[in-house]
Amino acid sequence: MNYLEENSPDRNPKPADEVVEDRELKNLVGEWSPPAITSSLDQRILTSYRRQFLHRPAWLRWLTGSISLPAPVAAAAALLLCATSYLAARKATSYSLEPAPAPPTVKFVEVPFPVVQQKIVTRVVYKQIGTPKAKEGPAPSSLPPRIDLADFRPVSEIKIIVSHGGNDEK
Amino acid sequence: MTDERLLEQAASGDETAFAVIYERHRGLVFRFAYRLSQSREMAEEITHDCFLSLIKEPQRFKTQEQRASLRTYLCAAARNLAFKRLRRAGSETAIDDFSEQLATAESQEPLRLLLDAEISEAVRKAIGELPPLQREALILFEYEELSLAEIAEVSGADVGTVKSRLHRARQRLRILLAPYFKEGVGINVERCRL
Repeated sequence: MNYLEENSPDRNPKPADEVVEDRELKNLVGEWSPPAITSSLDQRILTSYRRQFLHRPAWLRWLTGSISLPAPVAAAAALLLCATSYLAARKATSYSLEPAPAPPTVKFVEVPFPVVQQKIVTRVVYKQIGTPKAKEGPAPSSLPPRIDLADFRPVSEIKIIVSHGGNDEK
Repeated sequence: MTDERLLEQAASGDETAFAVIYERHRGLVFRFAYRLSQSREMAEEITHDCFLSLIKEPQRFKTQEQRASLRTYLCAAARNLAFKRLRRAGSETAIDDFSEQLATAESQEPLRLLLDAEISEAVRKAIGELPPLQREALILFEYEELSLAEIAEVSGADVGTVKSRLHRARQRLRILLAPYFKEGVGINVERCRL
């Protein structure tokens, strides 16, 4: 049982008695007056207040200070924070699935490179100047040989073959 | 300026705002604490702690701002502090002591009742003999003139319970202070002793 509650059998008072002012009782209880508040109490409370707020170091005030935000602003800020955190977490996960790129290695490969060398070709061109004279030495070997028709016999039948475009046609 | 605005300023270090709040409500808190605890020292301690806790944690009042005024909030804080101290001191009145105390009250000398100081002392004693929750309801209703709804807020009970406590407190006071009423008391004493 709660020590503050009284275990009285009269739990349900008469409705008419509850809010009706009991003038006689009121006058009687009014005879008891509390003492006046002393100035020392006022001073003590004000001193405690000053100690609490005015002499508190700035860093402590900053740490324990509070700001009041309108509820919609606070809700919007919380939503934004959640969304940003979610996106950041998702991005980090997708990155972690891909293999990390290998660090670039420097490899020296010797590639044969064709070097264009300058080649000097010397050509001797013989040019015939004027008509050669008979008495001027022997004829050049490039002249066609002479044809001898002594053994020539004509054919009895002539067959004419017309050749056109490389294909044989009769 | 409203209490809420003053409290905001006081909580951010405005001493003048704090002084205004204190000036407005110190009487109520001190009287209530004194009548509950019946000790000047305890009432001063309670008043001190009450205002300091208000400044240390103003957000506790702000969370209840929609349904409570600063007056009822301070009363509730004072009440909790008083009951905590009373519990620690073990000075709360138990129901078992009631019959004995009632007999003592009835046996007081009528001639001494004429003296105001004696009446005051008798009232103090009678109220002190009430169970704490009845005492609280009676003090807030009769002395501080809070409404039943406000008392319900302070004590964290519903209005019906407050009515019940007030009714029983009045009945008991009528019995305890019976010699001080001018006319006969229209209360069934035997019924109240149950």
